[in-house]
Amino acid sequence: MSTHSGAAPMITVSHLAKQFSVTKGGRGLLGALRGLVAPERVTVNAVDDVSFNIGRGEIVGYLGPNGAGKSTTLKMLCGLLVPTRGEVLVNGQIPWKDRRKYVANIGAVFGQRTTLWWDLPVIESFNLLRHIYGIKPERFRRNFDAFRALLELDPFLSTPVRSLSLGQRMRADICAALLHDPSIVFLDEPTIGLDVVAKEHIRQFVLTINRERGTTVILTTHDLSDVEKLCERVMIIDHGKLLFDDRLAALMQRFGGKRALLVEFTQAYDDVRVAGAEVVSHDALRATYHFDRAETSAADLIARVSARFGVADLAVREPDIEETVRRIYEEKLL
Amino acid sequence: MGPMLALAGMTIQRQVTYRIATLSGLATNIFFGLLRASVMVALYTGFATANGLSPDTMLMRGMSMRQAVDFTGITQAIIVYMALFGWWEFMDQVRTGDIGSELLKPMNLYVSWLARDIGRALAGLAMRGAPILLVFVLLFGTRLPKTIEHWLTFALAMMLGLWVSFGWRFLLNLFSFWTVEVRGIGRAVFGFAYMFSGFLMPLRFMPDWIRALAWATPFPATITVPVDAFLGVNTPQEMAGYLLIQALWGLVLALACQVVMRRGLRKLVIQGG
Amino acid sequence: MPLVLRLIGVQLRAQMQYRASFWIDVFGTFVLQITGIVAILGGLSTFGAVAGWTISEVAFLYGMVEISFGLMDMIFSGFDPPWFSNLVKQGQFTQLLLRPVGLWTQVLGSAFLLRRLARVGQGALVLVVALSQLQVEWTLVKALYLPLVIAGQVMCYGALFVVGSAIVFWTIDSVEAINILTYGSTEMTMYPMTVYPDWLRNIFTFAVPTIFMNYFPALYFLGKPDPLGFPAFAPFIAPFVGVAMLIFSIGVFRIGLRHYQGTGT
Repeated sequence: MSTHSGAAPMITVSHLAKQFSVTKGGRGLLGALRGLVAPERVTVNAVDDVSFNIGRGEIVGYLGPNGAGKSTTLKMLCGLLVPTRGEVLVNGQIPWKDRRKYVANIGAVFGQRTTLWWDLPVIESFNLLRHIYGIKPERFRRNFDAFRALLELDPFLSTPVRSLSLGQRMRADICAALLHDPSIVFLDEPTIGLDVVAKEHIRQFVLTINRERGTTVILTTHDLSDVEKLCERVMIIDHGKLLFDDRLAALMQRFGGKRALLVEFTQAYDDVRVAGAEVVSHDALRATYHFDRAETSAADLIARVSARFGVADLAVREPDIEETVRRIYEEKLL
Repeated sequence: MGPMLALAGMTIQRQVTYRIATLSGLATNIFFGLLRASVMVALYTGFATANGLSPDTMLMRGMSMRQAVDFTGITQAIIVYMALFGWWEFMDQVRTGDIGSELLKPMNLYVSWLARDIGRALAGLAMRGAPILLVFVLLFGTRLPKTIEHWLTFALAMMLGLWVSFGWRFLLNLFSFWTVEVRGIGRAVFGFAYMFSGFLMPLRFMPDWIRALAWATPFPATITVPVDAFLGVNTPQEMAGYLLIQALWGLVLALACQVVMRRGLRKLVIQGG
Repeated sequence: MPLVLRLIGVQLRAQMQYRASFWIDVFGTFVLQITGIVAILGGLSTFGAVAGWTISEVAFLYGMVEISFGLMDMIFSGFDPPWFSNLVKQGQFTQLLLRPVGLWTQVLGSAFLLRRLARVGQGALVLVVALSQLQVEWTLVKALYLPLVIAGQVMCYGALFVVGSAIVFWTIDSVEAINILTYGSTEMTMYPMTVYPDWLRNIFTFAVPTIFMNYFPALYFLGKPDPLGFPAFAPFIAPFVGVAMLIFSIGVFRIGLRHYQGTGT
């Protein structure tokens, strides 16, 4: 596994581990009754011996399926959670040691939650944050003016947060996380549930902040295009273990090459094999082919399939990150 | 009966799952029962001493100290069963709009919600009521009904009481079709329910004017009648009269619910909620 | 302006957006409380007295508790265990941890339910009626001490709320049994403490010292003798007990937070 670092690492994580003890819920009425008397407990390794360095000014995508340990890692980096073992240094500080001092220098957006005041106009939340972070008026004005233009906040600055669309709320939240000039920002699913335009908006903003201010960005997402547009570097975690840590290009080259062709036939065929593609599933009227973009083009493959079989419908699917990651883990590719 | 049973069963299972909640709720009920029982003992002892009576044999308006202590136990035991501390499930469904899917089911809303409430109440009785009563029997010597007739009367009063209780709670919740402020107003209604049901103090201890007002409301049918049936403080004739009052209130409230519900649903359908 | 006031100001402005709702809530709360005490005092009146205390004297105890608890309930809205449980469950507490400001400032500033003044008003009403029926021999010291007792009670009940919220760090869901400490000890202190069995009174003397918050001060205000034989200073320690309990609760909250940061959710 390669390591990346600028002059001095912004984040150093070594042998980080977090274990949880969880109660196993019984099934049905009997199980519930049993849980009442003697609940079963099991230990879960949410994060298991994870080490990496992140340099100043990097944008790193932190990926993995649900429950892989992404959020747990992020929570430890933000100082919200104390690890079971291992060390973390962010900007020379241990995140969970001096909470108030540490969080003054980081920004964080947890996509599903807002840091803004639900019943207040957006602008008033920003004003409160100015007091909370003790931001000097002129610096606040400068940052706020820059961000409101980049994120196009003006149309809804006086709207109460509860009335914002998800996209507007996310833009406001990202602005809120950066008003105090943090040197590092953690974005947990910043584009989840947003439409294409809103996603693009947020990506552009993150890129601009990173370029102009050298802000280090750690980002978790399920959206491959977030990663493609933002991240030079990708880390993949599953079942608590860091499986991959390298440039994005390396990842897609090694594992993301296969696209899928989904075909629905007009009648059942016993043998649906064609040249240049591999049949990964086949039942009565349906088949799925995997093919490598470097060897076969989608047009060629479709032509080949249509020539031999009666085709009712077909679709080409690009490999998505979720699937790529699952494949990496399931097929033990690393 | 099929769907009613299924709904009731589901609610029971859901309630069993709350482990800590159940145990801690039990502790809370026991504590408050103990508190109020202590007050009852102090009241009877004080009165007996001041008037040269024996606290163990004197009656206050037909109720002995033993019965007054048992009163605190049985009232604690039926709080959850009667949903005395608030019930807003229907209102929440209207507010969140979940009521829409409810309307697709081929069941009268009142009936399906009554079924659900019976499930909720029985679970409450099993998980909270029975253990509380057991603790009171063990710790404070609360006397359970001894004869089968006594048990049956109590059971009947409990069933009718729940019907009345559901009636006024559902009626209150139905007003969420028209206003979002049901909870605030409802808080006042629940206040009157505490006072007039005879939950905090037996109604018979109240000044005449409060008692007169109370019996003009459905609330005594929900607490005083079942509790008196449990304690056996009334003659069979009196008890029969009380059961009749319960049945009448149950019926009146059921009819009122149907009328209000129809209007509410019409409004919902026309204005799209 | 201190940040906590700024945050509370925000809460008040938000509540004023729904003015009708606010007043309906005030009305509902007022009725809920007043019906309760009418029922209880109505029942007591049939017996004439409780443990040697007249109905008016019990009403005095009740008025004091209600004013204090109502004030506390408003000031410590953020630490009301069910509310705090929601903060934790819905992740807002995480947001508070991410800000470089003390948690007390932020939790106190996360809610401030003005409508709980209804309870204070109701308690004040009962207290005034009680005092009009009682012949209290007022002195300057008594007049000055009364607000201190209320302040002590506010801190004492506030401490119980904070402990209840600290428990949420373990249970996540708000635990109903905490009502024993909060609503239980207030209901308990509305009656003379000699009503209760010794073991129960001892718990609320030595473990949770609420006996010093209302009962002993009331003995002093109403000029009643102490049947329990406590030292003569017992009626005067209410403010100190309040402060001590608040400090204790801060410690418990810290332990809870440490546990929470070890396990997360």
